[in-house]
Amino acid sequence: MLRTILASALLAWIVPLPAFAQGKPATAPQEYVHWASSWKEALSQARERNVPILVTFHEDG
Amino acid sequence: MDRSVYPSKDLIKATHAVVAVYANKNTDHGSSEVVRGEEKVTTCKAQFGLACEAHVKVMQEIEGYFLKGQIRTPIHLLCKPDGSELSRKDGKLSVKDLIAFIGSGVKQVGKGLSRDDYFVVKGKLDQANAAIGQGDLKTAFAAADEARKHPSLKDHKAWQEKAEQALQYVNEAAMERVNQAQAAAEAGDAEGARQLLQQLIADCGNLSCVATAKEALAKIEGK
Repeated sequence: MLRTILASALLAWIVPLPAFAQGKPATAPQEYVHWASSWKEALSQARERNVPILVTFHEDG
Repeated sequence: MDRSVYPSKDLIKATHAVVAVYANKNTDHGSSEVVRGEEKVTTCKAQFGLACEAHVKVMQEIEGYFLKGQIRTPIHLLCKPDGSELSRKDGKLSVKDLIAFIGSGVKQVGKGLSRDDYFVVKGKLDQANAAIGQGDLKTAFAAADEARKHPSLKDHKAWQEKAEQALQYVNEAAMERVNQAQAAAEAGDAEGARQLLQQLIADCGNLSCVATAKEALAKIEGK
């Protein structure tokens, strides 16, 4: 019993909990897809840059 | 859709050649707070960097236009810069297939400004315009000149013209300063006029206003 408690305490000390488990916000990934926040923004930027628009439709589940 | 597709580094790189739009009317996946740089942001748990309200709004904006009748997601569409549809793929796509799909769109539309280049050049032009407004000709010239010399503009005439236009605005603002200096000299403030012109000559590189400023300075100094 004592051995288990000591082992758990040691593990908790050695292995830090992930941010969400500590109640802290996670850190943003360094790279990610930059999604346009509206269709208007997408059109405006696509015209200015002269690039295609990639639209992806999804549903949960 | 495999959750590893959109975080793929290769895919992220490929999306720099397009404008990416994520549409989903559901919010059951929830959102979370993350730390980005110095700030905390709320982001969709399904797609990082986008608020759930945004992907719901996008869906409302475009589903009637692109989705008719019953649909089975995921669906990927490629559109021209004006928003008209080029092609679509129904169903799940692998990273490789999605990158190839993006590539086909870039091939049809032609190579535009990449996302990174766009924000660098646009940022410089915005900085130049703001600096003109603040009367900071040194910053305005440096920013507009940097935008003009950006290697990505080599094949983009419209952006070359925007950079040239920004330099033209700097030149016009500088010419107003030459006029102010000449008025100051005529009012007897030769030292003030000299300082204005010397500063302008130092700040505005090879703009045509520099030659005018040098002539005005020579006149004040009696050369």
